[in-house]
Amino acid sequence: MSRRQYLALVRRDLLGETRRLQSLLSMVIFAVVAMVVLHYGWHAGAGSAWAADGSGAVPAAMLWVVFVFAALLGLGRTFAHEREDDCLDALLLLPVDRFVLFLAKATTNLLLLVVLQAIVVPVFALFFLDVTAWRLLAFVPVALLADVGMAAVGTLLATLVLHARSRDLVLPVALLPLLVPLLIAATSATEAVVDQGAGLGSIAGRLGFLAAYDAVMLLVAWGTYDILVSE
Amino acid sequence: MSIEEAVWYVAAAYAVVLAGVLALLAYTARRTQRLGRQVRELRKALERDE
Amino acid sequence: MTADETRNPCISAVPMSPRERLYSAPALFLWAALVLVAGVLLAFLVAPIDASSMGFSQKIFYFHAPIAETALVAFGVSFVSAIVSLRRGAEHASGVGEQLEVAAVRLGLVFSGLVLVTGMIWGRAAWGVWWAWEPRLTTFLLAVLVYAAYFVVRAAVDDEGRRAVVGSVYAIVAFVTVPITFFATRYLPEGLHPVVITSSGARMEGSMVLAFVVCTAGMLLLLAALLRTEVTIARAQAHVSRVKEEIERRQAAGPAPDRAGVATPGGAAERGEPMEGTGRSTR
Repeated sequence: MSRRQYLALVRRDLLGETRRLQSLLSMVIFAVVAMVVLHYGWHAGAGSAWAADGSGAVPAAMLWVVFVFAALLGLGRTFAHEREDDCLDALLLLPVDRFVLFLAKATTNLLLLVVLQAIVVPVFALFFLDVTAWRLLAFVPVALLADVGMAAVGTLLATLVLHARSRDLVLPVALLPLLVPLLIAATSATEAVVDQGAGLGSIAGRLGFLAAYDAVMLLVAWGTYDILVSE
Repeated sequence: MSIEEAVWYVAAAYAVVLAGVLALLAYTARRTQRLGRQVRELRKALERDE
Repeated sequence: MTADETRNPCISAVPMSPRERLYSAPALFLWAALVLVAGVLLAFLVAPIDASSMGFSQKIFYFHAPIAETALVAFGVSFVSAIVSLRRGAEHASGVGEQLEVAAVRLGLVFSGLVLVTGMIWGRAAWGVWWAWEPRLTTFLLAVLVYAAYFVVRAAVDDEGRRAVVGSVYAIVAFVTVPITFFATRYLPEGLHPVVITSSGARMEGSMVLAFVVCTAGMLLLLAALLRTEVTIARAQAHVSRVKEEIERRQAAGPAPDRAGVATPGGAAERGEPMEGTGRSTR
């Protein structure tokens, strides 16, 4: 193979595939959002369980960074069954309120997220954290509320990109920015849980915020799902 | 920061805003022009049709 | 022709020249320009230099904050437009409402970008840092990301009708996220010490308030002018497409029978426009 062949192919690829350049925009957005998420997952609170350790410890809130990217993989598969086996139309023929469909899909996603967390969090705590197990229980409401939010928004967006091209790229790009406020609240609450010195009262505000976020997103889903799914 | 230095920053900020606004106006003007061209073509098509 | 098209002089006179008829939008542009110039003059000649450590760099505020508010208004317009489109149903989702929504998002995005740039410049001048994770900058960074994704999502959908619905739903979710993000960054993180770039000094004197209000009004007028133009263009383009379709349909059907003088609405449109070249068509 000659060098000219190589250059010609590269040039053809770049110039001909404007879609590649469109993907660039998606990738840039994704990278920037990832950095924003990392920022909010990076800053340990003052009395974090890490401060004393000092061995390049990972802040507890990093858990959320790990978790949300794992969750993205699962959420993308929300309608995989319907797509692969071609039964979306059959599903739509069912005489159910569309929002009920949404709730069903979202519940499945929620369960997946909860199970994922139930496995990942203890492992994470084992590897990285130095906190009593019963204090870790305080993490449960945080996790649940955050999972509800992620499931709700994730399912809604998975429906949005149902018929889209390159949906594996579009879903994360569209979903991540919308999840940022949720992640801010969740990481901030996690810091409070892990920080041995902090009182647990500060978590209440974060829980309230998460609940509000969940409520708003569910409301939007309720209002829009009908028209979104009808064809 | 002294006023002399600050002036450059303020000028830069206003320049950016101006550039942005002008870009928006140019974009809008171009679309209006394109619409005008479409309409002229349409008129020609209608007259031809007569 | 729908009723509002006949009432709108821009549409009924479209075959003439849209440029001649966009009188309402140019008027708005003129007003916007006048008010903005007045605002700049007020900001630099009348309002005093800020007494706090920000000093002269505070002058950036007179555009930074109004542009921020205008961006939010633009996003609000996209939100309302999206809701209205969806309420009309999937068949009506695409059309002028969709164009308004897209234009509003585009304008909001551009203005948000300006907020970020002016905010960073101001931050550098006033506080020495190019970036700080403070509420306004972070919220607008998120807004840029969310609304840039709006275009990514739309571009991924091939079917036009579905694209409109998807875009509208996303616009609704996106708009809801903006105030949520603002509250999250403002009230939640602790242990961070955000540089409060947005404070405009301990007290805002009357002349400062005046300059600020005038600049805000000017920016909103500019937004109104741009949106008005977009709507007119969209309506005119829809009209043009419809007439083109009608022409093609008639050409396909064959010339003779249609010109027998049958007073069909489409026929009147074809024959009326070239002959009645001036003034408003009455239909």
